[in-house]
Amino acid sequence: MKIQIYSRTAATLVVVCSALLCTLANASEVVVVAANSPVSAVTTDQLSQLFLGKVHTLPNGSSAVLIDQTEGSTARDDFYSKATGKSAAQIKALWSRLTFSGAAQPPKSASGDAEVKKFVSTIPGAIGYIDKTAVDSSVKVVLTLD
Amino acid sequence: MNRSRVSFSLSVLVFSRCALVVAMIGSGTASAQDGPSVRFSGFGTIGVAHSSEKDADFTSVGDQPTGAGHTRSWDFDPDSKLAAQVDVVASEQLSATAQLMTRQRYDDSYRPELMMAFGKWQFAPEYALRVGRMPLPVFLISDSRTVGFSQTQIRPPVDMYNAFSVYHYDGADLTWTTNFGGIALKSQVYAGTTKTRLPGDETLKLTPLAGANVTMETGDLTLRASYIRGKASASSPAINGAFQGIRYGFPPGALFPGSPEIPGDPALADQYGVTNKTISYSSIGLNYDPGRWFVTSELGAVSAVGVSAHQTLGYVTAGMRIGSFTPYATVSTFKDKIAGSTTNNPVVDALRTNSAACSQKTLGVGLRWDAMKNLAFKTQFDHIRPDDGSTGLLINTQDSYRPGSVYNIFSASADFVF
Repeated sequence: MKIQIYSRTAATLVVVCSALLCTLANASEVVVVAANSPVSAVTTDQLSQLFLGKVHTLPNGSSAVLIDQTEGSTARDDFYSKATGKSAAQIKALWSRLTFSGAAQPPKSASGDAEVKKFVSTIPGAIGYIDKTAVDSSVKVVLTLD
Repeated sequence: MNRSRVSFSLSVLVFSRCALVVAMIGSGTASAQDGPSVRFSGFGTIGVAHSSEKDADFTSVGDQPTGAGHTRSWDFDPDSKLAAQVDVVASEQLSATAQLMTRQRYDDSYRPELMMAFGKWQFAPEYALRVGRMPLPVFLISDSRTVGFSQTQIRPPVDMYNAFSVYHYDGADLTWTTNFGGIALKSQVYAGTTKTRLPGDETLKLTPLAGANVTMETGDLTLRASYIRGKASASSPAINGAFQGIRYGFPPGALFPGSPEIPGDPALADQYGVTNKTISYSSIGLNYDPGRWFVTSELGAVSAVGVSAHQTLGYVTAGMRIGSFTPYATVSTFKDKIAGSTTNNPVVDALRTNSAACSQKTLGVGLRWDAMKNLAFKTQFDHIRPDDGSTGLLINTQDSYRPGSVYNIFSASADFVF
């Protein structure tokens, strides 16, 4: 009897765990530009340099306009973690340096995938990130972050 | 009372002017997306420092007239500051930035100072031209030395940054930012002029000045090399009085009761006076930050000018990131050395010896805690060892002060951005 309870608990745990893993694996973000952008792909290194303010141009040499998600959102924290390997606190410190030394303006902020798509499809040179499931014909995926 | 009223009305004036400019530029806003955008932000530090040396003052920056130790046992002046910034982005090519800061100044006031006021023209994707008042980018973090929130430590290592009190210059700079096969490269050239007020009614000018630096970033590694050169002129009642005497001679008894007559020597006054003298600062910096830990190091050299000795400066900081905590340790050194031999003038020799009695070494350990997304707390303990017979970087030394005495600094701060 006791053994049965344990094994049932174990089974439940396995189900919960695999569900969690699925959710995590599904939460993959994609980097997007306008559907008609000449840029077709960026590497993780290029993306990292862009969003850490180290370069200001897209791989084709045109000016980049960075589109961020809302500060504190899971989308944003996940993105920086995957693209740059840095925590939200490190990113905040870094952009404080760039902003308050007069070196750069912080990225434009959009609230949610829909607004990112709106900015990306209307602002020349815009590059942003959204959930994979939010991709539509207005944007083009240039990198998938797993 | 008077002073605070003056500074208040001054800041109101500056702020209202900013607001007016902003309103004028902002009034043309057509659509939120491609019209001008205005952004207000700011940062600050509330910091306290305590020194075990009671017979002299510890300061964070060389332009501060008092500090922790003799003047105040626990002192908020060395690190506390508050800054407000406005950024106006008119288009993808044109923007303007102004920053006003209040902190302890050369005259012990907290009168706000305009730290930045420039226009930026991004005339090509990789090229930008700025004109106006900008931070003087001498060392690795000179351009953001006041932004405590952006730094791991309580303050940039004093052995490297204390002696350089010039925050900004008026002029122009050109930056070129590009990518060479995975290496991000930023090159900056600039030229202009500065005038810095220091305690003791001293004025230090670097006019003209010009500099260049290159920053290379690849993966987790950042390397930077910087050079700046300028014509320095230092003037204060004390400096001017001493050089008047060196030039025209000191009569008997002029320096102390019974002092001998010292004949004037215009050539010596020209050689050691700091009027239009070339001075140069060179430095290299390194940062390696793979995420879980990091190391930052800088080495710098300041050329000898007038009675001021040649200086070599450097530090190594290493830290680890454990969740929201960053423990770190720093070793640093400030070394000055008189170039050439003694002169036949005791006043010149005394001035030279005095300027070269600042060598010291520091060992510091600290902890940064990112408590909230806009707020970090830090605490730091520094063990400072001046060379034998040296006062190190201490000021306001009292008669009872013994040069070469080892002392400790305890500091705590809250750094925030908004």
